Amino acid sequence: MASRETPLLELRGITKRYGPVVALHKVDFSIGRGEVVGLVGDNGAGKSTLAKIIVGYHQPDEGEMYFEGRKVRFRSPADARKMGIEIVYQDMALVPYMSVYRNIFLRREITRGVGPFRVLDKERMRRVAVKLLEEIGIKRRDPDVEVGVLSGGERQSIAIARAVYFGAKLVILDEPTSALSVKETEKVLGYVSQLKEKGISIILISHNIYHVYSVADRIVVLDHGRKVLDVERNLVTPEDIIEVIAHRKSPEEVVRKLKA
Amino acid sequence: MPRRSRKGQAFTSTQIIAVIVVGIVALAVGFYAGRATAPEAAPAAGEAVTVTETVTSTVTTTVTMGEKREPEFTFYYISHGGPADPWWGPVIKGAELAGQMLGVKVVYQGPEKFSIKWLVDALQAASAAKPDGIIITITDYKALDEPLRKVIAQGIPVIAVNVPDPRPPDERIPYLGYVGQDEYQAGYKLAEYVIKWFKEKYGRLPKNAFIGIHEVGHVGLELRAKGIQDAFRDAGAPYVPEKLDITTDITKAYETMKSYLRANPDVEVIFTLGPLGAHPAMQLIRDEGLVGKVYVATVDLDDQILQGIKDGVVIAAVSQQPFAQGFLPVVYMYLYVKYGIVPPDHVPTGPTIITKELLGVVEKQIQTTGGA
Amino acid sequence: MAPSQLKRLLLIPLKYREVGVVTSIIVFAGIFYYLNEQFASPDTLASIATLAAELGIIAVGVSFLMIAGEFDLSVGAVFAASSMLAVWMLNNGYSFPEAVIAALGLGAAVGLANAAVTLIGRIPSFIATLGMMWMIRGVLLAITKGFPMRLEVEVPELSIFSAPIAGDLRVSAVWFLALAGVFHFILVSTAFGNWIQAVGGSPATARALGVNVNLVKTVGFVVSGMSAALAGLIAMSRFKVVEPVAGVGLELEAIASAVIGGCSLTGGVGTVAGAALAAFLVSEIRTGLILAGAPAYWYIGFMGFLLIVVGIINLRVGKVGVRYG
Repeated sequence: MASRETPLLELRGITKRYGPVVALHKVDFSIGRGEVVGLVGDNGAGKSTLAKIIVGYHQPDEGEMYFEGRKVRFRSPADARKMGIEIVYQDMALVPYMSVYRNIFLRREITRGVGPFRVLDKERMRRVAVKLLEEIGIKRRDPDVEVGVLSGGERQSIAIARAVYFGAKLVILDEPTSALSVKETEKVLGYVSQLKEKGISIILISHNIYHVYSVADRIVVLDHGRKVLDVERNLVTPEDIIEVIAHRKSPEEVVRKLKA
Repeated sequence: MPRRSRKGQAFTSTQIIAVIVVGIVALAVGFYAGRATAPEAAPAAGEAVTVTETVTSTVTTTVTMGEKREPEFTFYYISHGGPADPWWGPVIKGAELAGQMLGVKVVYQGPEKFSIKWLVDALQAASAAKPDGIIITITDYKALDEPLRKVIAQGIPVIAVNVPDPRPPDERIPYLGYVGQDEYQAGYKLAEYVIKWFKEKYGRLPKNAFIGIHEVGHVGLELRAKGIQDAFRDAGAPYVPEKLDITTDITKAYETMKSYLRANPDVEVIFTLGPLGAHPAMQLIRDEGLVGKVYVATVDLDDQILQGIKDGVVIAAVSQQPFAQGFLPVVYMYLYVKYGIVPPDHVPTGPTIITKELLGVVEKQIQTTGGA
Repeated sequence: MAPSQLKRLLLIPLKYREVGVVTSIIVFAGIFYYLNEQFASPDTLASIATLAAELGIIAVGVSFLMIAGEFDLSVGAVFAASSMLAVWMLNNGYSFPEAVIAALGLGAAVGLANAAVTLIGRIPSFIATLGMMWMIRGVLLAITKGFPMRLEVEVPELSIFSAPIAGDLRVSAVWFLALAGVFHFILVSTAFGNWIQAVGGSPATARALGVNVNLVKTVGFVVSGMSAALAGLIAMSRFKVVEPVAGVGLELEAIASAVIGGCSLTGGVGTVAGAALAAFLVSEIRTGLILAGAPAYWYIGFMGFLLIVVGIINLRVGKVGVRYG
């Protein structure tokens, strides 16, 4: 596969320590264009640390990162954002008291006028917002509605759409489906598949293996800061993954089963 | 990892330094400005040694006479009035001067903000210092009853000042005597004078009047207001001057009184209970061109109010002589401690009605004592 | 279809958080006019505007900061300190521009100090500015020994702050309107305004999206301090005297105005226009009660009642408006 040869993002031998605690130990990770990778593991496995390193919030102590084949070092989330990497957190993606369009354009406002007299171009921002709401499939296409009254799934989708609109090639979703209803979850995961078709790469961090399993191309399992499994989804069952996470089955067993 | 340790500790050194720097800058500014503007602390700076200590919520002023002379006695002067109220400035001055003249150490203590609890605490602290006498305002006779009786039982003489224990003599706290005025009388006498003045000038009572009260619920001010109202009742006026909450904010006081005048255009006299009310009232009358039509009558004096009396904006002001309230109790305490002279039950310091005729004398008083 | 559209149309005003305060202004105007026809006179309105100006200017700064998610309890103390500094400088031969710049600069400096203690020291702004308030008051009382400070020189330029324009209407009312307009515009129609709302509404989100949260909040603190300094200058210019206790309680009145005007105590919600209108409402009630001949001691109790009622209205209306927005 072409995406295998020149991955969009590749991490080699990433190690991160917090004092004596080793959060990540020599982790290799890669994701291709248009690929959806599920990142799973128990609490404290290092999922969030890995995500934060990818988006430049933390810097690794050892290891290298390559984006589109070039070696990169992110000193801040802004650096990563410039390259097209964004993370969407479930509970803090949007400001609840602000309208949809204000949220979408937060920190990337469209303005007109000169110098200090720049004024928000609300009409243009509203038009874009309506277009995005349409794409996501939200029925109430009012860009002035406060985000706080939207459902969790709608909020999640708006945050993802915002990232993509501003040119994200890789979107990391941190627990996108926790606290969502079944119907809402389906919508969000449906939107993820839709983006995949557009060639957007997605890293899905979740506790819910079944949600991950339903959309991911590949699944990566972390355990105590080490990568213990990295397999094509088609080759395993969700139960295999759960057993590995719960330490009821060793990763080797799963791999052996694969070979057989 | 710096990020890690930052989370682990409550504060990093940068944070602590930032807070300290801000604090130092603020204090330095304050200190500099204090030196630049502080009024003369003692009248005879050459021979007197003046020590001023400031303790967070308390102002303590200690005065000793002469360069090396040991003070003969130590008196504590504890009041509910602190530096926030300029009325107490002459009191402090008067107490200090009496101390200097008699060779007595006077420790003045007043809270920054009115507080009965503070007063009781200060009394207890003072009695622990075993002074030769305590001079105190009986701002709340219930709260002070037990602690003061204890102090007196220990053999420390007590003189009441500014506010007496209002109960009959056989029930009240057995202090030696009271120096000060009667707040009710201050209001009553002021209104009585205004009524007399109107009768002489116009042959009638003022058509209407109101009382601007700047601290609602302050017992002293309410008593003054009641005195004014009762004087009008006793004079047979068809109305009783209404109380108006004008607050201590000068703009609010001004606009509130202006609205009241608009709603009640027949008002001829504005009673105020201190400079905080008198200043905006005088300005209102001048701004609105009402000089000679509406008059101010007020409790307490300062240079602005004197000017108002001169200009005919103010009919009269009542003085309860704060300087004397600082000076006299120290003298009476000295006479008692040194010679065994028991002070009279009540030494009145006011009310004195200040009118145009007395201006010359009073001006001298303001210059020398800083207030009246 | 028709009824639902009508319902929508009727609910449009509820989208605006100022609706509670505007309704109150109108209702009270009606009541006060009924009680005393003089309430509708230009003089009375001018009087209300003058009274509203000082509180209103402070409320503009305080609400701006509250929307950014922080409190400023030091505004009353800054009100006194800055005007006292100006008086002292004018009395000591400094020029008018120097004195004004110094006074506003003091307001800005206190704002910066509040920001430093709150943001670097990580102490809640409620506590940080409460401490600042006491520190400033303490310094003022210690310096003045409680005596008011009087302006001893003639400074004709002071008229730019509070001279009468027409009848009883004063320049201060113009300052108030202009500032309320400018800051409302900044909040609603500029990118920075967007950041203010975001920082107050959810600092974590704002930070994640690249907003410099500390910078935005610092600007808010400085605006709050400077607005208090300007209000102090206005009061001083009119009465030529500053009491060390001037402005005591103004901080709470300003916060009350902001809340009546639709601001949330937790930040992110509210408008500057709402706070400004609320300052007008507070002054309207003060003046109206006097004209109506109500016992004067009722005012403060009435304000408390109003704060609670409008607070509830804002909460309910805010929810309804959002739902049908």
